Amino acid sequence: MTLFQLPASKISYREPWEVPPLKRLERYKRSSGKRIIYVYDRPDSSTFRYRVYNMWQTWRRFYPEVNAGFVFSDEIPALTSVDIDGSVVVLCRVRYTYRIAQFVKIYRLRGCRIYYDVDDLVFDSHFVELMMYTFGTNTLDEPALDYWHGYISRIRSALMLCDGVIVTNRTLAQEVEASCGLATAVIPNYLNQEQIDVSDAIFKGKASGDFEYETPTTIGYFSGTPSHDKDFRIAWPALENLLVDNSELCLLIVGYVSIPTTEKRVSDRIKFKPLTNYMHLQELIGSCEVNIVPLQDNRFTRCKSELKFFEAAITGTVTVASNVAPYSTAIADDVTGFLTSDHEWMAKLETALAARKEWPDMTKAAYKTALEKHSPSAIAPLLNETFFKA
Amino acid sequence: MAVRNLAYLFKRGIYSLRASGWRATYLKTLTYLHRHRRPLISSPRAAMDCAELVAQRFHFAAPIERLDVPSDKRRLTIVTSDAIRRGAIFGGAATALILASKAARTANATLRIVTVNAASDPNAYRELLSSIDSPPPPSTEFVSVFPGSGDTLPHQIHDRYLTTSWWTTAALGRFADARIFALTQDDERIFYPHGDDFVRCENILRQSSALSIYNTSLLFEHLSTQKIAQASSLSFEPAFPSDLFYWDETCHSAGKQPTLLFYARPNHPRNLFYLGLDTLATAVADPLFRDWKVVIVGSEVPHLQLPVADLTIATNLDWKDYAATVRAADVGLSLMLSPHPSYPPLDLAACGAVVVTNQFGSKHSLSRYSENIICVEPTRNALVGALLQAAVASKDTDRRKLNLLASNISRSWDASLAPAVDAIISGW
Repeated sequence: MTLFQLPASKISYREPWEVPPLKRLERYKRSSGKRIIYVYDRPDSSTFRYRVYNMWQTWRRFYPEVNAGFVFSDEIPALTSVDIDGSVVVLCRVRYTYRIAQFVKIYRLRGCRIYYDVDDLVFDSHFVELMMYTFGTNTLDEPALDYWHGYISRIRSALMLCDGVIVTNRTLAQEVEASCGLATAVIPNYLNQEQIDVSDAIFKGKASGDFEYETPTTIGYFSGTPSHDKDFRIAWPALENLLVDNSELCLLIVGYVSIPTTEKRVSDRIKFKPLTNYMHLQELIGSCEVNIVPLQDNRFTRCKSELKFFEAAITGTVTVASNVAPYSTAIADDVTGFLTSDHEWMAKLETALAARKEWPDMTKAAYKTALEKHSPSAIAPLLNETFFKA
Repeated sequence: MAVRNLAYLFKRGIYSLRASGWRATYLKTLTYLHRHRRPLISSPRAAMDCAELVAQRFHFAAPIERLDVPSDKRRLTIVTSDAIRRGAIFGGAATALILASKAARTANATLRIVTVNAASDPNAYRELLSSIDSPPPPSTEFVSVFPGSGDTLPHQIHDRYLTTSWWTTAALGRFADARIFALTQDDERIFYPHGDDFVRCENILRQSSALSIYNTSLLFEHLSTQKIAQASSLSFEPAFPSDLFYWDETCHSAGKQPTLLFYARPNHPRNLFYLGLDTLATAVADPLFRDWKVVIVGSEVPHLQLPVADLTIATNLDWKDYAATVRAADVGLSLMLSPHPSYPPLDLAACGAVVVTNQFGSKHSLSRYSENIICVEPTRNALVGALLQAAVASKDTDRRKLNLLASNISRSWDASLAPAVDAIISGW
């Protein structure tokens, strides 16, 4: 697939939260059986998708006897008419309001267990400056300070109302335990069925062609938010030098990244695409041969999820990532991808690009890992064990 | 301003842009214009705030903003203003990175490489370690800060720092409660004419609470006599690994054309390029140097002519090519107006060449390193005499090899730096 022929999306996309409330709550409202309700502030395509929608989809498919539903914060009053006794409640990254506090109080009185689900180190204001520094935000910016301190304070206030905390990895669990003194459980992020279906088709297309890759080779960087400029700059010197040395190499950047001014004649081989929906993102990832995940290494970044690895693995795209948790444990170096230190990006990318003959085996191993650890079928038993263990 | 000066400035500007980028070049231009200002017309100017004027003058030593963050893994930070890029990490800059890397690796700490007013190419750092077969620290970070720009540097309670110049020591003024080690590789006062920079430098060298680590005992002794180095400081000798610097029999076999190497850096005043050139031009006219090959090694060397049959000007050599060129030398001329011996004379001596260099301050003799080094006054007559002496001595290859065997030149960075590494990581 050549650089300037990026695939137009072949899928009709619908936002995952466009599920009518009746459908979201139809099972939850049943009068008998185990019940679990997820609460989220406002729908988005990141945390909501991974921590609510995917889980809800998994319950419905693998444990239909568990009556699962989800609501948004402003829909909480609509739950008053529902019999809630014995429910499990999961507040996902919800910010404190008096309504949330009342909601928790009422549910607890009715014998419900209340959990808080958080996927970032955003519950302790000691980390505000570190987080802002990681994002490249001016740490003296008053509105930014007000926002982050307020946001984190509200997250913490809501979290501390709960009986336990659900997180995405062990590192984040340790931070929660140290900061909040609450029990934790780990449920990693994972793919949903729609992602698997569209990615599977891409992977099988590559496999049917014996993983014969076309030139030019494309390296892809997929940035979720503008906060990743500093991450990208870790790999940029290596990328720039490789683009100079290799006229067959191209770079695809999806999302918000500003590239440092380059004096070298490489800008014609750098393609930008804006942020897109998560389904088309899978197509774009699959259109690249190599996916790079440069990451700063600090207590905030080590609490993040390894989703950039498994989202690429499921499409048959090789990943080169910073040797930072959780990628350092998710990827077996030279087996399911490549891990690198900050000073080795050039050497590792050269190794990765030179190892084309190994790509078929590597991508198959990574694909297998993604399905074994980050698919609904892999996570479903963990969900059940976590919330409804005997 | 003369056209010639403008051309020179333009060339320096381009060089700076390539080396350090737009922001650093802009700041250097501001400093230059301030130093060379002349009023174009007489007109009343708005009064400047004194503190601001002083800060602007010494912007390159402005304190870095400190950002306290929760503690994390052990971390050693080296602060340098040398650009880390391919072909530019030599001499003292390389020594600083090697010391920091070994200390971080020994302590199982992250090495954070902070470049001030310059960018980094991490691959150049990797190539440096690879060239001396030195394993890297467990992890590395590369950060560029521009003091005075509002850039912050996160600090954890147990972080330790290694500075590489008086101005990087000054830049850590807000980190004074941390453990700071100041690597000093020259008498930095002599970078400047007698004036504000000289005094500011001296004050920082004298008053800093950092533990100083001196490159060579010679430098330490010199700065002790100047009451700058404290007794608690330590020193080390640089290493010249024998896989690069050794007696190469193929270069010195009987009948081979002998080679005179002149180390030349016209834009580094302390390298005494013009004295060296004058010396060289005078010496090669002597019959002793008839039939010799002359190689001029360095950077930015102008197109020269000399009354010799075979002249080569080799500039901007990479590390391996430089070492190969040094190995081929029979006599070397390398000057440095500094109490530090500088590396090229020791590079040459480590390969068995007879070396001529100059005295300065406490540096009267370099026989403590090798009897193949002749150290004389920095005058043309003394240097020419020494070169002629060296030409004669170079014919006695057996003596040269014996002197090389008996030399006291370190061959191992691990051995040389062990005490300094111990000092940096002690109590961590």
